[in-house]
Amino acid sequence: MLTFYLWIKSINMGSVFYAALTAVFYFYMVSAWGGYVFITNMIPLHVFILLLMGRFDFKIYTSYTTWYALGTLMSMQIPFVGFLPIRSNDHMASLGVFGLLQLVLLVNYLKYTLSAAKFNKLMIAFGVFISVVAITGLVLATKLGLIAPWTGRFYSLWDTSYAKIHIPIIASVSEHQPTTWTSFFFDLNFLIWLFPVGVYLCFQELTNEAVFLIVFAVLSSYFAGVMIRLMLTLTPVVCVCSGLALGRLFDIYLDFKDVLRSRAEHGSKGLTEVFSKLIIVSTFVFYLYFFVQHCTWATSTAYSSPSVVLASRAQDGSQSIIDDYREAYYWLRMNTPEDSKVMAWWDYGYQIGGMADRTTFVDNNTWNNTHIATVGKAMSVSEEKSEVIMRQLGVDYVLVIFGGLLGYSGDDLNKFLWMVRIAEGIWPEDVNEKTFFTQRGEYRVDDLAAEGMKDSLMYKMSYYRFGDLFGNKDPVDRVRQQKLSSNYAKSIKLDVLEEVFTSENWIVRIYKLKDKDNFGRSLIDVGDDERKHASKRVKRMQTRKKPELDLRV
Amino acid sequence: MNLISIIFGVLFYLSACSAFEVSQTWEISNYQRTLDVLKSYVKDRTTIVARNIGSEPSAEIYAVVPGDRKDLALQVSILESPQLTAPVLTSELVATENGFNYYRIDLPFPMAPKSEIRLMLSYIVINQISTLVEEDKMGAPQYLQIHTYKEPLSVYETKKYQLAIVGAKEFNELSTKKEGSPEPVPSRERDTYLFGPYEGEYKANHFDEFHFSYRHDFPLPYVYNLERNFWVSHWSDSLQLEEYYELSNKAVKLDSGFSRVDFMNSKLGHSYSSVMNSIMVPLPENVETEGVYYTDKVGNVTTSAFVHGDLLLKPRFPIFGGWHYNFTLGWEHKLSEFAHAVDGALGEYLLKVKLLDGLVDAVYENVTLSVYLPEGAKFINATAPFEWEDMVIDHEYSYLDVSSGHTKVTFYFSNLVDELRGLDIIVHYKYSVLAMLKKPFVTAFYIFLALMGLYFLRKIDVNIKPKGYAPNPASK
Amino acid sequence: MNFSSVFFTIACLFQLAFAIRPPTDFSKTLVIYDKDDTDFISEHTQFLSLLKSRSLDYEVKSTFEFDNTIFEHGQKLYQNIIVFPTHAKTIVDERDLLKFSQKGGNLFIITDNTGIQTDVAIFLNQLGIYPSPKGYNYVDHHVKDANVISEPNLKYLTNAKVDELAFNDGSVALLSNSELLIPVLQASKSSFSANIDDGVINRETTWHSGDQGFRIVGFQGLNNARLTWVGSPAFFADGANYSEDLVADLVDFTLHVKGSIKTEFISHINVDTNETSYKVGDNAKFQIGLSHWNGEDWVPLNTLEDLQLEFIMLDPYYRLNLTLESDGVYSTTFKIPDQHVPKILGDH
Repeated sequence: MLTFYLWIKSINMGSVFYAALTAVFYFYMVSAWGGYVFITNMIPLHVFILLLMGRFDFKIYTSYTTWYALGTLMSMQIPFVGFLPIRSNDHMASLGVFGLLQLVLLVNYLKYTLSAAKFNKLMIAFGVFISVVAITGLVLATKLGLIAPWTGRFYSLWDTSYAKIHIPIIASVSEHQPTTWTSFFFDLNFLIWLFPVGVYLCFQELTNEAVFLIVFAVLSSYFAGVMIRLMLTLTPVVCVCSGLALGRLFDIYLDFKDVLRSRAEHGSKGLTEVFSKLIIVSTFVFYLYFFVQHCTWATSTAYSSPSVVLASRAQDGSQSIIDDYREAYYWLRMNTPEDSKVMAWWDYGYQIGGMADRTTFVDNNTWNNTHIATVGKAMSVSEEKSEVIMRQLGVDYVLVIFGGLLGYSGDDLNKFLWMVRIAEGIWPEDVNEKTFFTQRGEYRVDDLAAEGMKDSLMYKMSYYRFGDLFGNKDPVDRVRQQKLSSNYAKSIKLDVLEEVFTSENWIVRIYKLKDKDNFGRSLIDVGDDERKHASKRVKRMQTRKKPELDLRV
Repeated sequence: MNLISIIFGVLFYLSACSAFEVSQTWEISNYQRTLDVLKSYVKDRTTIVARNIGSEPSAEIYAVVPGDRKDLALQVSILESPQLTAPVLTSELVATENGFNYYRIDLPFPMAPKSEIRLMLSYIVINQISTLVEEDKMGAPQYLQIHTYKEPLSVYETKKYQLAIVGAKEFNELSTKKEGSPEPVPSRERDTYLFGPYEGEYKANHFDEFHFSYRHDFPLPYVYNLERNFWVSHWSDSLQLEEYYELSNKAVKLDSGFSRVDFMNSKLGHSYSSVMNSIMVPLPENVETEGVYYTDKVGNVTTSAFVHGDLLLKPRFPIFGGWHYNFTLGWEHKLSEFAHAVDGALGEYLLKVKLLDGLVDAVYENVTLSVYLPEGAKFINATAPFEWEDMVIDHEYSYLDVSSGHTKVTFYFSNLVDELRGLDIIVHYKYSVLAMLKKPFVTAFYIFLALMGLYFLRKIDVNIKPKGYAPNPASK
Repeated sequence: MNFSSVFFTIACLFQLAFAIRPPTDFSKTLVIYDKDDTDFISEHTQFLSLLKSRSLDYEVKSTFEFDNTIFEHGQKLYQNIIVFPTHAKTIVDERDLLKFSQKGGNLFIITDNTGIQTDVAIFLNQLGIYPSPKGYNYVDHHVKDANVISEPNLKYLTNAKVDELAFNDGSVALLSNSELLIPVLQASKSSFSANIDDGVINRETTWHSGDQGFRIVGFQGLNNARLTWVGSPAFFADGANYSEDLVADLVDFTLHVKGSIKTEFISHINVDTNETSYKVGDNAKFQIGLSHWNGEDWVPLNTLEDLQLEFIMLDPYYRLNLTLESDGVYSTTFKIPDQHVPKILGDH
């Protein structure tokens, strides 16, 4: 936010120094956060609006050009950004405003030097020429592939349902979900209603800074509405605006000079006024106090609790810690070969890399959608097909999160539909979301689950030997509140994978891809044979029967 | 035992007659050997009564210890004689041939001809025990096997011998029966099996292979590396200990992947088996122990508890045979209980630290013990109950170190067993009052410098505008 | 005599003995024959002396003497098992046979058409070899004597030149499409096998027809354990029928006396810096040294032309041919790509 502060300061002072500083901090933002694009668009927008308001002056010109030139050059030093600033549409706005500023400057210059009539003619010709050139240039460049086509992120900003339909991978991240009203209130508490007041106050006093705040407020409210993650951009402006509003409020109500003076004139009326003022002030003090409390509580429970360690309360109220993630990751680290490769959904990629020190196929920073989809496909297709994929990938271990025993809702089966959708996005002929729902459109995991569900590797890995834990009783999945019948649960088999570790509360289950059968048999056939428990006599009869074989070539 | 060693054994048979030979000045009139297999290693204790049959007094006697020399953990020979105050004898390795180590034991005084002495030899050889089957089902009883020798291990002729095996539940001899000679059958009393005593003429240097198995439903903890770091601080009067273990279990491995269902249903977590569910660490007795912590490479492990003053660690996962688990354990003592000023020498201290704490039953392959003396301390010397492999003195930087860093004394040991836990290492060092005061002064000086620097920095004018220039108020 | 010199000589002898052993240093071999075949040993002296010449430490047991155990404490007691036709009810459970092979043991199985031992049959079926059961006879109307194969077309495992191969009481096997099977001798195109009891010939009563039947089959598991199945014991017996070259080749293959390739070393180096760590875009050189067992010694293998290196991340990024650099050493140089898990795979 220092970037914004410095920006305003540089606009006010027209100082190259501050603009340069803004650029430096902008660079910092670029290097640290993918959301820097927000700043890249905020600043030009602000300038553009100021232009429209006719507030153009040399200070803005100096600051903006300095910032743009320096900031862009610096940001291009970051390997990930590279040439994006001049190619991608995300950065188009800033480039456009930069060009526009040059034009305005030129026009201003012409206005001073030329006569009014000539100027008008020139303006029209010039305007038409520029717009034609610009539009054709843009279209051409996009077509030629010089400029990146509009990215999915961009679309999802404008149309919240776009992502859901076209790019499941973006929508699958909980941070990318549209924000709900409750979360607005949860995060911002009473600031949420002080915020519009602040914005209103800004309108009353339309300085350059206020315009900036307004632009900021409008944009960020919209974005925050689209994605939870962008709440991050909203908070600073909410804080600033509410600060403004509160400040104004206290300005009025804490001003007792007036009261003291009036009290000398009429006694009782003054007292009620003091009283009412005090009530309001104390209410707000209470609100503020409560707000601090709320913030501390919210950060301690919702945000800072590390997701790898779960705390649960036993029935007697004592707290117990569920440390299954670390248990399993440490097991992986200690008891698997150092070069083994683990397949897991990408959410756990960083954790596995960091804590288990093992290679994963996809992690939180995987950009290649196909890789993620491949893993999704391996999880959602049948054992037989999955084996082929896993052998191709060179998978050694597969890790799944299963919360059914404990009632931990953030498990893989609950994320499973996203895996299916992402895989379907690339291989619609192999994976079909519909086959994972029952005919009545329910998402079931019990005996009546859809065939696609029952066949999928993820389902089998989650429930493998789950039934054996309950003796002869019917096992219950506590997350989905569904009861599997005991016989059915015990019949869930897994042939290509071998269970090698399951954590204490079953949250993390690790499987090892079995070696190929030494004798070239399919692992599934071997498993089927073993389950038959055929007697020797039956087996002997079988050796006398002519086998059904394809021609050997 | 693998094939190569079998071949070696056979080889030895061929060449046994010409093994390490000494002049037959002694005769063993009674040979009693006890193999104790209660723990995860074999304790071998032999008592011999030797008679000088030579014509001259003799002050040396030879003994033989089987096993690879690098696996030998401890070898002590004790002369049982009422006249002597220091019964431990010095012994020197004189030869190692075909897996046998020959020691010369020096007697305190020459023994006259026809006189008898009573000697006790005890030694521990690690890596002698292996599981009978490499892999087995979860919860199956664990059988271990040992290859050793049955008849007297001696370079002298023996008249009488007995062999006792202690703690071998369900003992079962596996060595191939020799044809012709009737095999001795051991008598049994609970878990102790006794061969003999047999009387006869047992030739010198005759080694009779003996292979047996027994049931042992306990883990075989094995620590590949143990790093013990003691941090000495005179200012805070504390002695901090941090231990890093690389632990494994040499018990029978699982024949398939670990199945949590089977583990839960078989209640293995709560019964005696070859699985390590918890690690008992007795804390030092009679001294105050504070600030115990138990971590591993992914952070704090919350499952530890104190049981009757001992520390009970619960690893993140049960440690099956062949599994590994690295962890760090640490605590703090008052320094004054371990370091004492030396009388008559100002600023000199004697620090007494334990060679081992930790596990109740374990074999340690490598142990690195480091003592971090305060900065400016001078190491004088150290004593240990037995020889270390190597000792290194260097310096290591830590927080607020101002000159050369902490003085670090590192001892390297190998092949230790938990039985040696009572032994002490004594470090003698000098730490003068001047050295003690140096650190706070130097630290204070640097902080002062930093503050002064800040003060001067504030004096520098970085304004690029000429003095007296005031910017226009912001335009509206 | 000084002890140390004795030890030295013995050690030398031991070294020597080690050197002439086949690649697997554990060569205990079990030969099983039917208990009714009382003259087995005297009728197979040539075969047994062949085993001896391969310095195999063998035991010959009839099914009566054999106690049906091939494992002790989870360790296999033998490295190789040779089974002659037998009607014994059980010899070794088929699961044990699978386990034996899984643990690297080699099997040499000879059957005939008088009925195949059940354990062996179940085991062979698992591998994809389906020998004809009792009662099926091999018929070929185009040859005079079905018990003799003249000028057999032997492939893959042997170069033996055989004019006439005795194949008395021969059985014939169907094979699955398993890649691990090596068909050594195919049945003739004009042959079929039919159940003699039925008298009619139709789909149900014939086991094989034409060259879909096989008479000698080799097999190599993924763990390099080997197996050979032979449809007739005739050419193993002493006398005119004994086909020395063929038997020797089959034994050499099955018991790993020849045809074993071993990786001597694998190395990689950064050509630009001469270190073994890489950055994206560096040139790396990969080398592999191979040798094979020629029956007496490991010698450099120089004959491969189709050795490849793969560099993989999801899909192979590179698939490079390795070229022979020096004696037994193959190498290639390539540029390290970005974002790839360097899984190096040698294909051959």
